[in-house]
Amino acid sequence: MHAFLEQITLQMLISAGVLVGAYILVFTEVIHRANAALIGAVVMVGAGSWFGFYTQEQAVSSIDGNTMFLLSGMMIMVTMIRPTGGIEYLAIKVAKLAAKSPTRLLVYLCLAVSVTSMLLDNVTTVIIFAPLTVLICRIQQVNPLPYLMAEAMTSNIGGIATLVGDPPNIMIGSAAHIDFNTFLLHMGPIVAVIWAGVIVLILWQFRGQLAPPAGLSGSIGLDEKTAIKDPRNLKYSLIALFIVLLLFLVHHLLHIYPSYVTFIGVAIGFALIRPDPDEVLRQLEWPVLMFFAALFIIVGGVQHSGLLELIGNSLARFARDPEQLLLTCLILMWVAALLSTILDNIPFTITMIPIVLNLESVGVDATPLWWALALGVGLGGNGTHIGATANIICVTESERCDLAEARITPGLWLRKGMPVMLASLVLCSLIFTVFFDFFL
Amino acid sequence: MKLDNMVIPTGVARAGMTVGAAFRECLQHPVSSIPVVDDHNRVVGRFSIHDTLRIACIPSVAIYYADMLSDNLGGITMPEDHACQIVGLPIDTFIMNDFATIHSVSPVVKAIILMEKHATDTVFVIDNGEYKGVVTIEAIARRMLEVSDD
Repeated sequence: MHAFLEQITLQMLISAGVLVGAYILVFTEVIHRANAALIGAVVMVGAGSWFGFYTQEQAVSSIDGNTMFLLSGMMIMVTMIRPTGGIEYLAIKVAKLAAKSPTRLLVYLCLAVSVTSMLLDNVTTVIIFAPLTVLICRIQQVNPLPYLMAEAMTSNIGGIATLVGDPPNIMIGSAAHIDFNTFLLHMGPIVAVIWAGVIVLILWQFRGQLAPPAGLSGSIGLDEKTAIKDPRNLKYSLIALFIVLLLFLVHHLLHIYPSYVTFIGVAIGFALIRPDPDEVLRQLEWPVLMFFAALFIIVGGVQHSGLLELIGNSLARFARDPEQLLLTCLILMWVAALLSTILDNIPFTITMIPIVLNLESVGVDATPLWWALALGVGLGGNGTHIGATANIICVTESERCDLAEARITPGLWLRKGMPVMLASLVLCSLIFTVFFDFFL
Repeated sequence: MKLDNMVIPTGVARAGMTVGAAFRECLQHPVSSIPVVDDHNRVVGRFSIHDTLRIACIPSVAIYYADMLSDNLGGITMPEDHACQIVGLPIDTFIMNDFATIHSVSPVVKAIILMEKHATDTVFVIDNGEYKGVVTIEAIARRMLEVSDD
């Protein structure tokens, strides 16, 4: 510890100070997190230039282009699919299959949400599914509360399974050069087991509210045929999405970046649908993209000050020992999860990436650390109502539906969500430990 | 066309009045909205059949998916006992703050503009602080037909 402190320079302290200051602004939400990150980035570049540890050129090159383009490409794909009504069609169709059983309805809806979240972002998925679920529950005379909570949680879990399912995965995949198949192969099975475990736990937690009401009609009151508002554009956007999926499966063989794959899909979609570019670009989540770019610049400043390398070298002494690697992974997973219950998991992931990369550069097998990080930040979001944006959307939807018994309070989420998060982490740790060789 | 030819004199609603009594006042004239006045007879709000049914009878989430609804709406129904309960409620929770007012000497087109702005089909006519009646979109259309027939 003494040797570690001796190596800390003024530049490192300044960069750490700017990072901590920016993160305090982000996490306290005194101002919008994108604005806070932008201010932090500007201060970091200014301080770096003044004290000679970070140049403007280095700041620009710190922004991971693959992450930014992959994220924006997927956002554009969503803006093409969403207005067509295709996702509503899927939700209604799935709900009709389970209309006579509230329990089966919950399982089927969660399955549809999880699968959709594997390909599209969780927020879009939940924004579409949550209000439809409330309406279906009102028609079925069942309390929407368990459904909303379960959908948010399984959306977060489903997103962990793929390279494009969750923003932290996009960043991890880009930094570690993990291809789509490798991500799906390593995360898919563990996510499937955790998903099943979480569903069983949720069904048990809400068993009292999932009993079929007297006079359950078996109708969900919605006609899926009328859900599709634009069949032509739905067909074209599905063609584009299908091509993207196919290319994701082989992008490593073709040596093309996942971000390029999404833009191939965007180009095909644009050629077929011919949307108004102004309209499409207006719907992009610019604050999210700005937030990411600014965080990359902030963390780049800390990296160029040498602080992250120093932390990485200190951790390497511990992690280099193969006996300790599993323990390091589990600690990373649990710390990532616990921090993600109350803090935004994106800044944490962006900060951890250069540390893990540094461990890799000094000979530590970082592969299991990437998986542990992805699992930790993904599962941690289920612990509290502010752990993930999908949770906040479902809480808001529960407040909007004018039913006192459906209202999801922060305390209720903590009582139901925290056990789910802890159980999923325990299950995840067990699987990770037993099949550790698979994650190497 | 003069606006004062189209004014429909109605009664007013007051806080504490039942929904049933307000409905009867509307249907008697017939208009879809009537003003809500305070103890000094100042217009302070609007009671409308449309808003009352929206608030009392339908889950807000259903509106967005209205085109997808089938005829079997299970739990979202309005049985007789629910209807009886609604008409017995005080109007207080159904009073809208957003209402349009106009003078009887104002041009007709101003009434149409105000209706568009406030997403309503009624405008309350008030002269010197005194409520005179309601101008409805139907009254304007009726007057247009009368002028054309003349």
